[in-house]
Amino acid sequence: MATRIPMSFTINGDRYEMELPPQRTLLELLRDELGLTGTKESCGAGICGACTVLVDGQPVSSCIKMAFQVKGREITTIEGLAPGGQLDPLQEAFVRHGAIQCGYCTPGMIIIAKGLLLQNPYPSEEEIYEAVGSNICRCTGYVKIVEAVRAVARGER
Amino acid sequence: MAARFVGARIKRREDRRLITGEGAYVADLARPGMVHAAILRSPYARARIRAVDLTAARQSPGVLLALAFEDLQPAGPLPLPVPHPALKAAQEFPLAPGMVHYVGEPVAVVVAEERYAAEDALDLIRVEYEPLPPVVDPERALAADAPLVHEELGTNVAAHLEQETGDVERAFREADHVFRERFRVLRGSGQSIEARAVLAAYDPLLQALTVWSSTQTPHLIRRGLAPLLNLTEAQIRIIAPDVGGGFGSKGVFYPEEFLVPFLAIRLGRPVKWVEDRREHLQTAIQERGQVHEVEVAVRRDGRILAVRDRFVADQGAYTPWGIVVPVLTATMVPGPYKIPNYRFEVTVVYTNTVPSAPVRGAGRPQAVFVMERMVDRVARELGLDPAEVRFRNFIPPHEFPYVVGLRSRDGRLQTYDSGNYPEGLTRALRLIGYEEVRKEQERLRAEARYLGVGMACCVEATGLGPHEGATVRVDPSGRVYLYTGASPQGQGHETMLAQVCADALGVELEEITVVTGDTAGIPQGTGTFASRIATVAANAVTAAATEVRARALRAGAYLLEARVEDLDLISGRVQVRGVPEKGVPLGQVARVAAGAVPGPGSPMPEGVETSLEATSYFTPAQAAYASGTHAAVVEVDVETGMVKVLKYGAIHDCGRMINPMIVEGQVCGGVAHGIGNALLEEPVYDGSGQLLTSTFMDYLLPSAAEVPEILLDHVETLSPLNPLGVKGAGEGGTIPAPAAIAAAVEDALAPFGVRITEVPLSPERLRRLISRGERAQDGGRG
Amino acid sequence: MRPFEYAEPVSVGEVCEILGRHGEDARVIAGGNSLVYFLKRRIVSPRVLVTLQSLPAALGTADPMPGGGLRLGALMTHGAVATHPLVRERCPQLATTAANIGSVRVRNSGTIGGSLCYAHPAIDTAPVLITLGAEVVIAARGGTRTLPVEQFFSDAFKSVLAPDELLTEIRLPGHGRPLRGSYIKFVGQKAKSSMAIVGIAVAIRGGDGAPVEEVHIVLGGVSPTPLRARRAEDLLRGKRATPELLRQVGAAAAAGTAPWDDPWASAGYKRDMVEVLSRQALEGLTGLGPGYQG
Repeated sequence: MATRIPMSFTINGDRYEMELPPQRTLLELLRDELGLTGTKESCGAGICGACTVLVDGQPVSSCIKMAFQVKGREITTIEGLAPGGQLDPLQEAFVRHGAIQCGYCTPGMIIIAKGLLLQNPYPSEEEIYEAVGSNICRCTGYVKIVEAVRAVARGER
Repeated sequence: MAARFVGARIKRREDRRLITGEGAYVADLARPGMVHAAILRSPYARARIRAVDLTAARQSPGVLLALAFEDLQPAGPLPLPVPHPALKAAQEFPLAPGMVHYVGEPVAVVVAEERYAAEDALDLIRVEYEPLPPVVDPERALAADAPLVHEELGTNVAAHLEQETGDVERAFREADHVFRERFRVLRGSGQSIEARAVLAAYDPLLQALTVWSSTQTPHLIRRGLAPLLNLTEAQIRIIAPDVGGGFGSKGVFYPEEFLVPFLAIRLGRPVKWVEDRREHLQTAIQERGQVHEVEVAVRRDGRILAVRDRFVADQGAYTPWGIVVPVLTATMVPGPYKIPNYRFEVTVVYTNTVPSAPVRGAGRPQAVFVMERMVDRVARELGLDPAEVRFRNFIPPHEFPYVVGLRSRDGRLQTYDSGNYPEGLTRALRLIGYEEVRKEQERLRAEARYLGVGMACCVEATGLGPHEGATVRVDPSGRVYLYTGASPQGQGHETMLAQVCADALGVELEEITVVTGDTAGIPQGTGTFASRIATVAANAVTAAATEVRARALRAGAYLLEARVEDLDLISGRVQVRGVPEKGVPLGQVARVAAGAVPGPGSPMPEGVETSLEATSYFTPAQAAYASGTHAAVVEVDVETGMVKVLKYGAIHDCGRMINPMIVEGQVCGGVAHGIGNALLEEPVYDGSGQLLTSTFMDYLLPSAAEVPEILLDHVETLSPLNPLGVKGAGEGGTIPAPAAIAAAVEDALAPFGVRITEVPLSPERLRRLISRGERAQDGGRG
Repeated sequence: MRPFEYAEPVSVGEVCEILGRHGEDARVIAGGNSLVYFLKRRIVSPRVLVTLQSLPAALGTADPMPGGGLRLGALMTHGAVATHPLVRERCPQLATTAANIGSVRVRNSGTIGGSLCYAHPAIDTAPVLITLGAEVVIAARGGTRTLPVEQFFSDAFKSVLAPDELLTEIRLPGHGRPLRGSYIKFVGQKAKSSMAIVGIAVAIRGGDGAPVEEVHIVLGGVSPTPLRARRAEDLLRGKRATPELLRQVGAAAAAGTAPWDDPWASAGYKRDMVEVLSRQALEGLTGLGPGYQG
């Protein structure tokens, strides 16, 4: 039985070659193997979106994704959004609009919004609600999160 | 001192780390040599444990330790922070000693090198249970033949309380009308997005224990833990790092708060336990479950003369916060209304369900639901506008301080400090465009579309004692450190308290570091709950910073050879008033106070106190009463029972707003939680006490689709009880929401004669009520 | 998650061979949306996990078939189904249905074949596929077979796939004159991204002012497998739709269901919703009403 299998990934622009047990989820790879703890686990079932990362630019629940499923793919986590400390406009907008409270859903929210804007730089109101509405936040009531995403989509910098 | 920062929309200093993934929550922390705990939980709501066999689990690969209750000695019951003379308390043990009382109660714990290994070993534990019939429904628990949750108590009644003000009997005799109703409010829970987690490390050399816990109350955890572990409080340091939401569910001393440190000491290795969502849904405290039988006595002009409320409160299996919740409900029923005669009678009952303790709102959503629904009833029966009935019954703005006539939770005479309730309602109605909505409602009804508008008002005791403190210290570098026991879970304490400190001390915001959630930072603390931090902690910060400022001026007077009265502290410089170039930076002043100037061996300069530091505790004599008025517009699809919230207006009065952006966030988030309570959230137990809603697929939380844009406005009546004039803001968004939405739904369905007496309102329940109404109408026509 | 052996075959034949060798001990993983959660919770603990990620690309594409039909590779994600121009042109109701499955995260991972094989009673795509007369292509060691989607499900969470079989393709027949159809996904008060409480797929030919020549009504969430409302179809077929007739059709659709209680919806409520929503769906298609406005 192969207890470890070779895998390679590009994570936040860095290339990783490693051998991992096939039982690792993508979330465990990020948090436990690589120490990228910005991606959070909340429901563990792919519902709440706290663990959202981008795989080849598309939002995915890393808690219900096996690491081997994303071999050879490009993964972006919250840590990869501000290379060199230059914040993404979404990150700035979240702060400016008061869209953050406890911060636990925030990485997933920012990433899902990023995924939306990558696919669709000019999303409709409905598309913004659809993206934000697929993740759960318990603190903010979403109002300010929607405001922040809308602001970036409408070109506010 | 002019306020530069208090009242300003300052961006939160917490956010930089949170938006970049650098926030450090307990699950994100690791210690060298760390091992992992997993907990075996009862699959039965009520059962005797005949035997626990850990043999196979102990031999499982990677397992270091497997323990049941017998292995825990000493393992006294968990602490009861809020005793009550009327309470027959039942306290949980860290692991069940012979009996389990709810599904999810910890029975055994395993520690292994890896989390999966610990979980694998749980499957190997053999527990012999003798399942016993449970009691799940609180009213059923009062039946003579009901199973006893705690046999040793001889009853399921945890407490019975009564109180009366005025002459209720007489008021009912003399009233023009008496209306009766029965209301049910079902349970709900906090469901912070971060579940709970505990990490503990013991240093045998220093005999010191450090615990990282996702708690709302680090100092209370320390207080509870010390005697359980036979340690002094000085040996224990509790750190609540970034905490991902609380809402009350992290304000409890849970079994794991003891188990994890116990295991770390026992093993001599750091032990971490991270709860999964299923465990959190199963075992985190819940609240709200109450059944009320209420009567109101009314004059024909709509004036409410008396209220009589008898209710049963579901306590669940244990009393981690005593009976705080039902007491809060009982005393807050009169709310913003001038009701001269009021009597309540509450019976708190044990059931075989997860224990009940405060969840955001803490008993008050129920009180508001009961009272506001009755006010709406009065309006309907008398043919008056619901707003008008409220205006006729409000406590007038000139009658503050207003003595309600009850003893409140803290045992004192319940006295509202300030408020302007008519103004709140006026503004709430203006926010949603009440008159226009009424016209729209009329128009749509002709198209068989059902729009409704509802309103609800609340008063909320905030800023409760006993104390919260702050230490303000100026480092010789000039940097200001602020330590407080007010441990945040996302409310922005770091920013808000820095604003208060900067103004009181006279420094720039950036010069202040705020340290929260660490018992090593300040000797005493209480914690974050009951919307208390802006009131209690912020006023402590003001006092401590004011004292440090005085000290700085005296030390500055020595340095500048000036009179203290001529000095000012502005932007981190002590300077001669009117002569800003004659001044010294605060760091230099701190060096004088530290004894570095003139230097070791010299006497302290005259009039200069040692250390530019002060600790102050604010001890409120009573609660500050915040208030709120909400107005909701909904549309109901009468074929499916679906409710859509179209418009939501929320007025909040928390006195002076230290940071309006933070207050708005608190209110909006609170409203979303209240919408959840009104329409979605319900932990469902079957007859055997099994929780059927153990994932986010089944326990329904509001998403962005269910929360409308929330229109906000504020009434600011300053509290006379504290120097800043503030009241709490954390829960006011939640409290009136279920009542407002229920009222709007009832209003929408008025053509069907539907009455809303229960929340949450599932589409199915509504559909049933609508069909009943349709049948009644058909019957009426036929 | 219990340890498992990992297999990453590169051809369908190889998959079937591995599956045949390990029988019930092997599980296939496509998107993994449901399976990974079950692995973590130890609800499923296969000895061998067979990933389909290295199979030929054709399993993830849509291609036209003669006569206006369409073949969809089983590994197409819901997102791909939703946005594929051919699907949107030839089967708009399937594209719309796929666009409303789960959240964007689910649609980016989950595959149309994977979700059919998971066989959740409230699956969204199957009722639509059945109304359109779709077939599945199933590969095994000995060759392939083709089966109407309607016959693919054997019970809740069970399909007719033998242990060595793999679903590779979904085929949508061409139609002389296309069926007009819709799918109503009713989630009640649950989040939009949840599984349906009831799902109602309807497709008709004719009916726009003329009699309804052909009608298909298939229900999800109200029986262990997608349920064809035959009595309701019979009531409507060949007739001109009237409000009263559609009320009867709705009632007939509901009468044939066998739902169960869930924490958020009782059997009775589900039945009521079938009655209301199938009527509304047909009203929408026959111009007698606005259709479902949820």
